[in-house]
Amino acid sequence: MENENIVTFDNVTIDYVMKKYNLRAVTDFTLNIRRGGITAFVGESGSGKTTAVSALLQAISSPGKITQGKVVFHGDEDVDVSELKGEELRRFRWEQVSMVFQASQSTLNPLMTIYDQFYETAFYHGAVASKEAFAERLDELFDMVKLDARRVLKAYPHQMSGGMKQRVMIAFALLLRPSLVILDEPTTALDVITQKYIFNQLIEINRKLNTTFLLLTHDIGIVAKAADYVAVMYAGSIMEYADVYTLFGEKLHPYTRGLINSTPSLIRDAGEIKPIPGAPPDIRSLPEGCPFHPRCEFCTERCKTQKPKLIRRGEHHWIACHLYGQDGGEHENS
Amino acid sequence: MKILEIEKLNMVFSSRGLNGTERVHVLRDIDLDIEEGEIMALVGESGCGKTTLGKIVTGLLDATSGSVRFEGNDIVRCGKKEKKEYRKSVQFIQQDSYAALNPVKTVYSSMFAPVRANNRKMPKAEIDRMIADYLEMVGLTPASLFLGKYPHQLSGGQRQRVLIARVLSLKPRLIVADEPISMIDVSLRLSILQLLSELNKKLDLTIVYITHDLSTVRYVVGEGRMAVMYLGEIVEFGKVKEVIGNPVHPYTQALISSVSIPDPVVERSKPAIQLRSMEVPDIRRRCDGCGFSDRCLYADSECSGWKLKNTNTREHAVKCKNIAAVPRYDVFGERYGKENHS
Ligand SMILES: Nc1ncnc2c1ncn2[C@@H]1O[C@H](COP(=O)(O)OP(=O)(O)O)[C@@H](O)[C@H]1O
Ligand SMILES: Nc1ncnc2c1ncn2[C@@H]1O[C@H](COP(=O)(O)OP(=O)(O)O)[C@@H](O)[C@H]1O
Ligand code: SF4
Ligand SMILES: [Mg+2]
Ligand SMILES: [Mg+2]
Repeated sequence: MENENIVTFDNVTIDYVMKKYNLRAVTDFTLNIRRGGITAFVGESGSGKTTAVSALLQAISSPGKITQGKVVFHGDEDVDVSELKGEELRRFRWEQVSMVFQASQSTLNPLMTIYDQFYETAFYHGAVASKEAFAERLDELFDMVKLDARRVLKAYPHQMSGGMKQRVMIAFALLLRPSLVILDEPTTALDVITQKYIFNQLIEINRKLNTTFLLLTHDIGIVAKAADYVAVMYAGSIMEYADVYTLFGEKLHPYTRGLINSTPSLIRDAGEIKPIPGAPPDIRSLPEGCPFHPRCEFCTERCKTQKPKLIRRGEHHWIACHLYGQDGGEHENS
Repeated sequence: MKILEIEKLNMVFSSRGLNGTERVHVLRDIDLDIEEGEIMALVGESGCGKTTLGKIVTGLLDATSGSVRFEGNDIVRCGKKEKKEYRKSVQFIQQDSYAALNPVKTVYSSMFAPVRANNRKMPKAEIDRMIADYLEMVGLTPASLFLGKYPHQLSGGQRQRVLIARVLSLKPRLIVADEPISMIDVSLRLSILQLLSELNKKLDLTIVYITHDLSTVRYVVGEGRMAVMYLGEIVEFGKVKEVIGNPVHPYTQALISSVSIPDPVVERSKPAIQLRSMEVPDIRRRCDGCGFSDRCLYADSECSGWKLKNTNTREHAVKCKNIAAVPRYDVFGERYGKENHS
């Protein structure tokens, strides 16, 4: 039977090893990403979202290293991603897992038409059976992102708006039919009408292709719009993981609650929204205990000394907070 | 009383390029009055001309045509003395607090020069006390903790507060805050917005809050007024509650329905936006007549030749020729009231 999860992060710790100090960007990261649907990593800038998923593509930027744990991709067979090399790694990227990087529009080659860029990648991966079949594939892809293939394929990147380029990048990520697509802040810097439009397309594509999407964002509004499952990150650790309705409905973890309650909303009065006290953490000097404790209104003595483990609360609900039954719970993951 | 009156203001930038001189008509026939002591929002997507308008209001740029009157005096044609007074009375807070502060100066020395300039004969001890007062007024308490810090030792929110404190020390009558939270951490944003609202109430300071983020407007402006801009024009103007709760202009409606509501149940029940085109035109390629007519569902053959003017309903000033034909939607995207007859 097909594994219901597509990726397992098994106790992953990632450090940026610098001359003067060690920056621990991701700490004891344990999570199963469910196959199909959209899983979001949400957290403020610097919380470790990009670093964590980069491990999945062996694309952690230098001088970052996985110093503990492993990432397993559940394909036809289970693969420890860090063991992929050469040709295998090259095929794994794009064919199994593709990524739309933050500000990825600049990764388009300014000197090549869109057609040539798609052709080059497809050809390189042996995905061009015939010119006709390839043309059909392109029609299908551009149809999904609602772009006029005839017009766009002839164009150079500078002839397109930001929103169009971003949709081209999404089509590109889908080109080789990967089973997982990572979208790192895919609409940041676009106007809200375009953002909404792109997300409607992404959701539609996700449902239609049954591809798994992993969405990284700092925007809790986007999570509310698009995610099925959500991992809330703070200072490199997962604070809570739940399906989107449980997350917003219960707001169990104090940080989750703070994040949701501090987000401006068109329908909430000033009295219903309140800032999280204090400042975001400096991950070079994280406190002992729970990383959120200096800002948490429920902080106890135990929170200051002992880091809470991520424990299971419901079928798809995990939480790392001393308020919620830390006594018996050994760290386990299904 | 009106503190600022803008009439028929136009701004055209000319830049020399390869194909000769390019003229960009960035602001078109802007009319806007600001009441003394009010806090108002100027909302629109990036590139629609908000910063340009904010800079004209604060005297950092001169408009190509039209008039700007500050307390009744035309700021272009007035005398030197009035101009100087005006320059001092209006201040601009820019979005990038990092760029606005000198990296090698402590908070204290950044504050010292402006406070001293305004209080020439004051003894140093008193200046120091004033600096501390200003810092505490913007929430940097206790001030002693911040005086010796350099910009890089502060969070984005704290830097923004220092900028605000510095501007306050100049004792302005009106400030324009240009996207003051767009570059700071999400969890710190709300408190900066609350600070602006507090300063408006406590000091009776007139504030123009510029933003591309509609959901922040009511936390700053409360019951006040807002202007929605699209490609260099104010397309809708009215009380925040009215404009957000019952938008009339088809662009305002599309904008509001696109803003995500941080609640999955509400957000997912909203209907999708309907527009004729999803391409956002550059201000350089704005279509004729109503600038939204190439995307608008309710456009008829006359919209693209229409000379824009305000259609006033009881609560809104709207630049749309066809408001009788435009259905109304509330914040949840539910249709109500007038039906589309076409
Ligand atoms: N190449 C790098 N070298 C050193 N530190 C890095 C590097 N990339 C990221 N970091 C640091 O790692 C932390 C996590 O960053 P990142 O994964 O980009 O977070 P997010 O995607 O949530 O914004 C941040 O403190 C960031 O400054
Ligand atoms: N000095 C200038 N010369 C030429 N074009 C300019 C200049 N300043 C702004 N613009 C153009 O005017 C338009 C509006 O810009 P701006 O006022 O910064 O908009 P906003 O603040 O709403 O993002 C943009 O298209 C911008 O490129
Ligand atoms: S004037 Fe016409 S095109 Fe413009 S918003 Fe109104 S109906 Fe739409
Ligand atoms: Mg990132
Ligand atoms: Mg601007």
